[in-house]
Amino acid sequence: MAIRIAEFFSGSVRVLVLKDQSRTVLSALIARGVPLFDVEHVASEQYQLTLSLAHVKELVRAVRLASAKVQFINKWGLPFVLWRARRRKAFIGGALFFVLALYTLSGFIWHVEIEGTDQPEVIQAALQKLHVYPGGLLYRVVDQDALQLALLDALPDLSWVGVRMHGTSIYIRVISRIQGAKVQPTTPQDIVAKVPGVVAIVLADNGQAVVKPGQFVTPGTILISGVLEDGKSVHASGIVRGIVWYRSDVTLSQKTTVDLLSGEHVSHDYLMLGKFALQIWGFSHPPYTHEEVQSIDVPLKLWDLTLPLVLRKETVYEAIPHTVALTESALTARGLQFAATDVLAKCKGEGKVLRQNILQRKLEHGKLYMTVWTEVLQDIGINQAISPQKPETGKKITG
Amino acid sequence: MKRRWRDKTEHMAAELLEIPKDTLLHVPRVMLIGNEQVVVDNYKSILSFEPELIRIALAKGEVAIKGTRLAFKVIVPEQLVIEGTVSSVDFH
Repeated sequence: MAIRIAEFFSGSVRVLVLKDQSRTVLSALIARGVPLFDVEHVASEQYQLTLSLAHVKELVRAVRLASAKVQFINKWGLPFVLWRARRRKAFIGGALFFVLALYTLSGFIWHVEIEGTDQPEVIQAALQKLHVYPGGLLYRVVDQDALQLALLDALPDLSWVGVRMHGTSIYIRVISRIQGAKVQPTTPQDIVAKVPGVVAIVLADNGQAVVKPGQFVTPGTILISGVLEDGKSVHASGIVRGIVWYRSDVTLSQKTTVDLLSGEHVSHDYLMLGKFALQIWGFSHPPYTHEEVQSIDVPLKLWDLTLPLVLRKETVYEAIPHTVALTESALTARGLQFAATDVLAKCKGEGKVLRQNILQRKLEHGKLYMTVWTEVLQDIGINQAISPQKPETGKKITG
Repeated sequence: MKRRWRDKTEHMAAELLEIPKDTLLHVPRVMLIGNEQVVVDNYKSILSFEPELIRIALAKGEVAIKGTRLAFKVIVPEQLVIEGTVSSVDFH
């Protein structure tokens, strides 16, 4: 009883033909060219056969003519399914209602889960504004990335929000900002030049770099703009290094006096109470013409308690003053070093000396007068708040 | 009369050209597949149908298929498929 697809669509029946003497019905059907399948002998004058639903009329006619009887045993195929479906309207209605209900109900949010906070009410309130609550319509909710950003915007106390939409459930995981942690400033600002110089490196973390390496800038020139192309203002941040020049005048005397120690020394011990010193050991006063004193203080301790007494060991060394006359080249090198140290102190130690030029040098009366030109690579940016009322201020400085 | 003449001509042509006889349209063909299946092409009618004996009328004479549990698998115009255990096929 092979059911082929075509047979399924047209529908087939299996019948038992009874009281058919000498197979009249079978012969009649064969004579008419009706395709028959699985013709099986059951008993004398009885046999079963399968035929297409389209040929049932011919079967019935043949049965009547032969005055035989027919019993329908089985029927299968699409026409019967439809016929049955028509008879069971409520069942079909139920099935349709189920599909419809499933579709409708899956349009709602059923479940919102908030994780990672002890105050879910706060997040719930924010979510309510974004149409996210159990019973809300799912199609009104924006996609999960946008929801994530919207939540972060709405709740500045959160440092991270993860949103996962899974069917009709929305899972939200938040990480609260640690209390007392430094909050990144968000006030709109530009980074402008504080000193004149040539831009060397621009690293914009936030905002838009408006200068290029090699560009000469004057104080007040905007280096990293906090105003974005779309007109939004942000807190510009980043590093702008530039080459800056410093001119320093250095005066150095050629002769310097250095104390050399002879190795002769005496020790004195004192017990100090505040400013009052009591000499307790070593009372010799050697006749040194030049001396250098070195003292070491040891606070007295009684177990864990620090007493207000200090033991001072004072060593007096014999010194021999020695005058050194530096050569001009050594003096010049020292002058350059002084100039570099001075310049680096001005840029708070974050600079790097690239090049030094001696503009002027004069050795007079044992003194060296020098003018040094120092080229330094340093941070040239400074924050400048963007005032929305007067956006022209920055430009005026630039001009 | 006309039919016989045509048949005769066809047969003659077939002999002459050495065409296999089963390619001729009106020649009945009985094909046995092992002893399980019999395929009969160009049959005329079913004369009798019992599980032990099936008799089929052909254009000339008849064929009797003997066996056990014989049944028709398919009956369509021009072809029959019989299944069961076949013991003999006789032409009368």
